[in-house]
Amino acid sequence: MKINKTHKLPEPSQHLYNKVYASIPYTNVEIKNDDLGFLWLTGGALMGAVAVPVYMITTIAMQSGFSSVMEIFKMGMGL
Amino acid sequence: MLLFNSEKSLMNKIAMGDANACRTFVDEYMPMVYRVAIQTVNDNTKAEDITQEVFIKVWEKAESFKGDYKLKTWLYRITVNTSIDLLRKHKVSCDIDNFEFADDTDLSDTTIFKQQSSKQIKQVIEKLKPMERTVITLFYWEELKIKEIAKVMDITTSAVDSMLRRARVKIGKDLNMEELV
Repeated sequence: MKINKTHKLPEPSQHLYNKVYASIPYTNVEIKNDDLGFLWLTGGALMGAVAVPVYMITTIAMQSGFSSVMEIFKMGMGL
Repeated sequence: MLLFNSEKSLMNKIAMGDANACRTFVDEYMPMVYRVAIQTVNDNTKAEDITQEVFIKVWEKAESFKGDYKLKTWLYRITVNTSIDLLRKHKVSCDIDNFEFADDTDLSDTTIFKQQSSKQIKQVIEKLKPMERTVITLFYWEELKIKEIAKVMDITTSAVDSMLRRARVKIGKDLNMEELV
């Protein structure tokens, strides 16, 4: 039998579409072992980019007569 | 229309977490899932919960889709099972194994819904048992064959036949269509 198409059943709301879209598992892409090396490298590079300059600036500043990190900070702030 | 070569390739992409494939799948199949759910449980909030749960199950089970069934049959099956589970949780009777065999009412009759308003149809269908509503929805609205409904509901074709006949007799009575009774 072909249904009379005037007898429509309820359709899902946009709100429900949004809820279901939100359940889409964007995060279920597994991190493979090959990717781990890249992650370590990136993390290491970022750490190095921040830590090395901070260490160098602090060391040079200490050698220039500052007695503590707080003094360097105060100098930087113009106090 | 799906843009993927085959149902299997779509499910493979979903299993790999391809968001685009997931979105296509939702757009294509959500109306169907929701229709079956709301007809079975007869409650919008519950139907929305079922729909969400069905899609979460699809994301989880996509990898196990082997293509033995048509994708639609697989999805109908998940929807019906999820609906039954929810009804059982709410202690609504939905025993699909215990039903009597009805008489030989002609299933090929095509006039049953034609002269009725949508409101009347909705009212009479609401009075049916949950599984009868599911069978009626799958047969008339989703246009599945009795064999396919049997696969979806995991029952025999004669059981589907019987449920369908019984539902039609009830609908016929409610709509005062004596010739169907």
